[in-house]
Formats: sequence, structure tokens, C-alpha cells
Amino acid sequence: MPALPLQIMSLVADFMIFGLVIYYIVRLRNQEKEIQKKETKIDTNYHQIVDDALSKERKIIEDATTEADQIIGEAKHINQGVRDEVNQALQMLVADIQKKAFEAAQNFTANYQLTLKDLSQTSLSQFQDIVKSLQQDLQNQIKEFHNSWLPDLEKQLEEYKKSRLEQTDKVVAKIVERASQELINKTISLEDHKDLVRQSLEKAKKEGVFD
Amino acid sequence: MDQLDLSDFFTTKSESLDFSTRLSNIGRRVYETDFNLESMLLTEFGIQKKDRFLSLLRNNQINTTSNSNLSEFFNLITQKISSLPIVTLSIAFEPDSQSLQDLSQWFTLNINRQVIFEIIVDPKLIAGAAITYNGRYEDYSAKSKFAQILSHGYTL
Repeated sequence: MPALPLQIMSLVADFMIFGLVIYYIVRLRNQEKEIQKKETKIDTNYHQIVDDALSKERKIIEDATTEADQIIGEAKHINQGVRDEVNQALQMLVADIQKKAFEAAQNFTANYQLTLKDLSQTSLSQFQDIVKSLQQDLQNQIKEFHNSWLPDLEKQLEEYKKSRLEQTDKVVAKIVERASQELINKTISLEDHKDLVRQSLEKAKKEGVFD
Repeated sequence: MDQLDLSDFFTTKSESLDFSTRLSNIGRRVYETDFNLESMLLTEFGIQKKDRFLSLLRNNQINTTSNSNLSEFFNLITQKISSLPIVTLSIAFEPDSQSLQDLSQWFTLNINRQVIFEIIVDPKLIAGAAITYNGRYEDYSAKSKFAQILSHGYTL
């Protein structure tokens, strides 16, 4: 008998525990659903923010590109203008220089011709004087040459001629001597040479060379 | 030694030196066991001089089988060569061996002794000879006469 109340109590306890577990599971499921909802919301917000940022970035780049194109166009325009101006200025400068140079050249030529004319007029008379003086000097030197140097030179030339002729005579004599020696030597036969040597030995013997 | 005539073997100074050297070569090998005189003479002097040398040995009655006799005779020849007088002959032509032999014989016949020639060839001498013997020099060439004739011709 006492087992029945215990059994009932145990059964009630089991039901209570089972109820608690069910409650806990349901609660967990609800919490999970809430968390999923929050995540979905956060994800949606993130994509929205990124899309906004990208659209803003594209806009900024487009604006910047447009502005840059405008600046470059303006710069090109200014550059062309400056170049034209510089070219014009240079052309004017060149023309001015040419003009001034022509003027200076004309002035110089005129001055030079004038100076040359003056110089030729003054130098001509001086030149005539110098020529006269030179002529006089030359005449004096020719006279001196005829009076003193020429006889000396003639004398020296004569001595030189004499010594050269003597030298030539000696050279000719030597050549004749050598040529004659060689000629005679070659015309003598070997037998005659031997005979003449024998004659020399005979003479030497007679003179007592071998005693 | 005075009877020893070597004029068949040499006439000039250089020939006498060559002869002496070759004779010394033979003399050094006289006492060798395989010494063969004829073979050595043939090697050193050639066939003609070999025969002349063998005649010289016979004429001087040298026993060719005796090594000591041979050695003694070789020494005698060497002494004879060193004692021969030298005659310096300046001549105007290039003498051949026969001319030198003839001149050498002239000395043997006329002054009874063999001499060694020292030959100087000088074409300027024209002909004849200039002789130097025992320190004495005599010019018997035609050169001096020719110079006299030539100078006489120039002065005319």
C-alpha cells in the first residue's frame, strides 16, 4: 500500500520535471528565433550601409573626373595662348635685332672707308720716302760689294777651285792606279804569276834573305 | 830529323796545324788493343796521304808493328813541324795546292830546307811577291815599280 502514494508522488514529480524541460526547450527556441531576427536585421543594415558608401564613392569619382577634365581643358587653352604670345614676342625681337645689326654694319663700313681713305693719303708720301731710302741703301751696298767683297770672293773661289782640282787629280790617279793594277793582275796567267813569284824568291835568295 | 821531308803532307801554316792535330789523334790511340794503323791513317788523312805516310814510315825504317816505335816517330814528326821556319809570302794571286807544292819544292831545292808558308793574297801587288822571313821584309812585287812608272807618267 505505501507503494502507491510513492508511486503517485513519483509520477507527479516526473510530470513536473518533464514540464520544466519542455518549458526550458520552448524558451530556448524563442530566444534563438529572436537572435535570428536580430542577425537578419543587422545584415540588412550592413548591406544598406555598404551600398550607400559605394554609391557615394562612385559619385565622388565621377565629380572628380569631370572637374579634372575641365581643369585640363582650361590648362591646354592657357598653354596655347602663352605659346602664341611668346612666338610673337620672339619674332618681333628678331626683326628688331636684324634692323639694328644692319644699321651698325652700315655705320661700321662708312667709318672704315673713311679711315682707309685718310690712311692711304698719309701713308703714300711716307712710303715714297722709305722706297727712296731703301734704293739709296741698296746702291751703297752694291757699290761696297763691288769694291771689297767681290774681289775676296773671286780669290776664295779660285783657291777652292784649285784645291778641288787637286783632289780630283788625286782621286783620278788612284782610280787609274787601281784599275791598272787589277787589269794587269788579271791579264797575267797563273803560270806567269808562279814564274814571277819564283823570280822574287831567286832575288831574295841572292840578297841573302833566307840566310 | 833534318832528312825528314814532310812537304808532301802540308805546305801552309794552317795545313801543318791540321796535320799535327790529326797525327796527335792517331798517336793517342797507338797503345789501344784494337789499334789499326792503316785504318787510322785512312780515317785521318784519306787514301793518298795514307799511302804517302806509309812510304814515309818505310823510308825511315819504322817498324809499324811496334807501338813504341810508332809513338816515338809521331813525336819526332811533331817536333819537326814545330821547328819548321815560317815564310810569309804576299802574292797577287790565289794559289792552288800544286802552286804551293811547287813553291815548297823550290825551298827544298834552293835552300835545302822545308818551310811553312803563311800566304797573304793581295791583288794590289800586281805580280811577284813580298817576302817576310826571320823578321826581314822585302818587297819584290811589281807594285812599287808600277807606282814609279805611274808617278813618272803624271809628272810628264
